Amino acid sequence: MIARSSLLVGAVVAIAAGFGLVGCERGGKSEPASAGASTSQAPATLDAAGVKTAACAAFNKAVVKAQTANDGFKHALADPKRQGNGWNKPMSDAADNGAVILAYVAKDVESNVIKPQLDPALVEQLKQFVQLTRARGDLLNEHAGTDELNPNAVQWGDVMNKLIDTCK
Amino acid sequence: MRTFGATVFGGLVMSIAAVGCAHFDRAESMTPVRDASTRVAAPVTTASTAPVDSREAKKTFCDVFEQEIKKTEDTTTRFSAASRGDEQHPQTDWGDPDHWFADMANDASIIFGYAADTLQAQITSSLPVDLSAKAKDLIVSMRKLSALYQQHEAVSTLKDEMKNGYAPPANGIDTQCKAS
Repeated sequence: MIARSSLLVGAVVAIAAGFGLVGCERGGKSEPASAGASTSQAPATLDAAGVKTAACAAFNKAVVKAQTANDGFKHALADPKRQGNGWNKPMSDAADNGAVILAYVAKDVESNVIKPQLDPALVEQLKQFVQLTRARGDLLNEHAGTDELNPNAVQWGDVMNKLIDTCK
Repeated sequence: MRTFGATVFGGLVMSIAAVGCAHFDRAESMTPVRDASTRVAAPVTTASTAPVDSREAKKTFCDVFEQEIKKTEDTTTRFSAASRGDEQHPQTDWGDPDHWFADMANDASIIFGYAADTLQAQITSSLPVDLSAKAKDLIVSMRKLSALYQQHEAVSTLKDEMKNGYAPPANGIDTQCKAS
């Protein structure tokens, strides 16, 4: 574990704001993610619209899981009884779970959402999402400080919201 | 041999019973949304892949099993720790928005679901039949646990499934993998 607790002191509001960007298109709802198998394999016979619909359905499922993990960490970070105390057990455990989940989500999107039939611009956005999700998982795994987590949260939230908007 | 379930859940029943939780769903924004694919116990199928050597299939499966089981064990341990609370939050309560207990359950639900998916992808016709059967049992239990965590089900129910559904095939696979 890389202890960077001093970076977290006094930075809760800033990181909460960063996290706040994530998922704001979803009306701020915090829905526990569903946990089942991905069922988004797009048959070769689908037309372009059908492929996008299938990809978006798979993306929406994956993104709820990512948000659930992120929300868990955010809640631990914002616990009013612990603010300013650096890394603690709930934060560490939420970060460690989050690292595992975000790695799964990145792989899920890579395998079940990104399809060659999709619009190249959408594929590019999805690849960016995968890269940022994986980076976020790595940061959580390292118990990184807000100086690294916050910029990632802003970028991640931005790409995520664009994709959610595209998939509406 | 690794023993699954028994120690991890050791502290759960008491800590939950102390606040009288039998089964709570959070009424506000935390209402669980159950995935359609977890609503029923779908049969675990065998992936259709080109046949490979049985020993090779077993080794690949065992490597993946080792990785996935570590993830499910770790998240179970974290949930167990949250269920005991601490000096800041001594009362375990699904409804406490500041308590990390519910978040740990939500995370565990996702991790068990993805672990089941990952293991299922490793079940091929090349895998030894007895190992394949145990793997299918484990996947069914993982999916059930995923749903139970998602529903914020009673800890006694989780414990029962861990002990009677998850642990037997997990221990059996562990033994078979270590014997190779």
